[in-house]
Amino acid sequence: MAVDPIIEFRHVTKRFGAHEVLRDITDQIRVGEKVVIIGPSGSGKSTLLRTVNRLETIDAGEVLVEGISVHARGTDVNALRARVGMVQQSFNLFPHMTVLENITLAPRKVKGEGRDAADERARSLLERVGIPEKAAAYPAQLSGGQQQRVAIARALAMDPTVMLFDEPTSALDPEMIQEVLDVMRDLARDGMTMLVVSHEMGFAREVADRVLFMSDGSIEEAGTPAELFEHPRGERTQRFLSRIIAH
Amino acid sequence: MSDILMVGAGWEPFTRWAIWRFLFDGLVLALEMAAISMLLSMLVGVVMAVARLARPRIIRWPAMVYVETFRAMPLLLLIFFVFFGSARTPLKIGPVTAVVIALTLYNSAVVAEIIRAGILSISRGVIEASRALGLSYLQSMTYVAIPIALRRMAPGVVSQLITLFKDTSLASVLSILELSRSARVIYDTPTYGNPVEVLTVVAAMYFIPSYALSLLAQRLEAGPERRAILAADTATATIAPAPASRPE
Amino acid sequence: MGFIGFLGDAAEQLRLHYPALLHGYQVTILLTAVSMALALVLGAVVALARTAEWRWLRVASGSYVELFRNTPLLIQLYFWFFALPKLPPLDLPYLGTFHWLLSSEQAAVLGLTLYTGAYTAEALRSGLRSIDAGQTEAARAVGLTYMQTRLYVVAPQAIRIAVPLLTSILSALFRNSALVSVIGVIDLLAAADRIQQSNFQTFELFGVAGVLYLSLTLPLAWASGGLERRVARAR
Repeated sequence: MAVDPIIEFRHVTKRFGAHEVLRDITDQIRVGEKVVIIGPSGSGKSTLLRTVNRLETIDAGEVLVEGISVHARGTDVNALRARVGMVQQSFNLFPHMTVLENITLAPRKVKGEGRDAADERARSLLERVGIPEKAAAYPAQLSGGQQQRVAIARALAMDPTVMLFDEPTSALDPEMIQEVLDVMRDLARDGMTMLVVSHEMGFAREVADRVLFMSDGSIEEAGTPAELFEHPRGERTQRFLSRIIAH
Repeated sequence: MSDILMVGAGWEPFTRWAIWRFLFDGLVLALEMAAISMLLSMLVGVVMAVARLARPRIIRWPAMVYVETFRAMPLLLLIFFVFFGSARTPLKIGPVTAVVIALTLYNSAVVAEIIRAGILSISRGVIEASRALGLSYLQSMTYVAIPIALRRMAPGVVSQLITLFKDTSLASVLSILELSRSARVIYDTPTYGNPVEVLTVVAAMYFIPSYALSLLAQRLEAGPERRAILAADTATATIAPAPASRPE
Repeated sequence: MGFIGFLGDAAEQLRLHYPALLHGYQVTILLTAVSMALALVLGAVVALARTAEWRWLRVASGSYVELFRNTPLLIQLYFWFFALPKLPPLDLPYLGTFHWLLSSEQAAVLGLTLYTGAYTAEALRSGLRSIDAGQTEAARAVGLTYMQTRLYVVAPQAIRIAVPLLTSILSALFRNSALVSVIGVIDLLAAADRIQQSNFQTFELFGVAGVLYLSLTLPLAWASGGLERRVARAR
């Protein structure tokens, strides 16, 4: 039943006033593929990611998820979002709920799951992200890394067919980055389709099937990590990589 | 010792049930006026807070004038204005109603600001996260936005309720037999003449509910989820600005 | 008669009675200024006492704050004006006999000061508490004494943080000062009330008084908002 490609961008264009944030983006993401988007800030990579679950509107072109046009008038956006998991830079856990409640809210309210089933599933997801003991904690009692792992579990609780990661480690202290990347690696190993905006080059090299380099709202260059990191063709790509790797 | 120190009837009247009964009636009236005014203030406060957050100036500005004016006015002046003012118009308002109206004018303005701050405290990222999980607009308001805002407002509203309860004492200027007036009636009675004792007792009768409420406000202020709500606020401020377009 | 007519009538009342109204306005300002100054001193002492090492000092200062914040100002004013004189006179060596009789104005200042002092104490204490312990450590590390640290490092920062709160306390004091009319001080509200009782220009006179109160409280409300944003930015 899997639709391949699972995500398709067709000539996607978006403007803020006169400024073009996305220019004629076309790309396909296959089922199970791991794609990492890199590029300087303001290049449109987060915006592109957010078009996939319609957190962003577009001005021209089309985004398809499992063959369904995301921005079409008749599309049930909530049903779509339920299948597309998203992890944001700033965790955005619900501060008034415990970890368990954070994870079970959407399964219960959107999918109508029973409390017991949802709880059980949430606990197994917490196990999977390595913090089963934090089920009853409130977000403020967790470290940044733990909060982000809860956010991943929260997204996974909806059984998404694809996961979007929007700079998931940029708001974290350095010592917490690895614990989040480890969870993401596990997820990749299990075959999840992943679209990741990130500056973690090591992670991209290790996990990505393809790397997209974005600049000024366009995909400047795409290729396997080996191709892109070892033999970047474009001048902008070279400049960007030399700056990032020098760090 | 008090027999030597105090003049007048001293503590003796407090051995009689009728005196306690009289004071308790006053306390009940004070609590009733506070409760009704608070309910009305919440209703008006919600309207004013939402109006102040509205886009059109024609809605925003009158609400701003209402809030800024009434919150900056002495309550006693408002009581005089409503009571003596209404006496000059065909619709004559009774003293208790006048006090409730004046209390509502002042407190609704304060409550409106508390509610507005609560609404403004909901970070966009959290709403977006709930929408990204597939929650509908209504669900994300019901389960995420409104609970966060209510928790944020709770301590402020409870503190304001304390102020409101204490402020019912101003009703005594219109000779309403609430707690303060009842106290005065007792110690002004020539055979009693014991303001020290009566005011001490009455102070305690104000103190107990107020202090209980202040403990409640403190509890609401503390707690892990409360800290989280405050922390969520600062987190959004330090993290990169969200893109300009709104989630649908 | 309409709104313009009303404004005309109000202006007429102000013209006729401005000596009395202006005097009341001055009384309100003076009472507030004196009480605020005293309440700041009292609040500072109490705030320090609440963070002191001696337990009984903390208990005493805490009790003061809770007692005076959780009873109505009106009852407190009644107490100082009506109840205090009932206490037996105090025989002091050399100084003679001390009677507990206060004038309306003295009772007003005492009542407003003690009531407001409980609030200024809390504002200053919250300022003190928000200073990071690292500040004290850093100051001690460069060799400042305990007192120097509190005086030059902690206090200035605490006061800066407390300023927006203190501003709104001052605004509340202006509004609360209207209560002193119940113990016979002729402040702005009492002045307006006396005149309206004789000529029944109720709306006009209370309207004028209201505007005069707003002239004192509104600038403070705006200043408080602005200061709050500045403190928030600076931190």
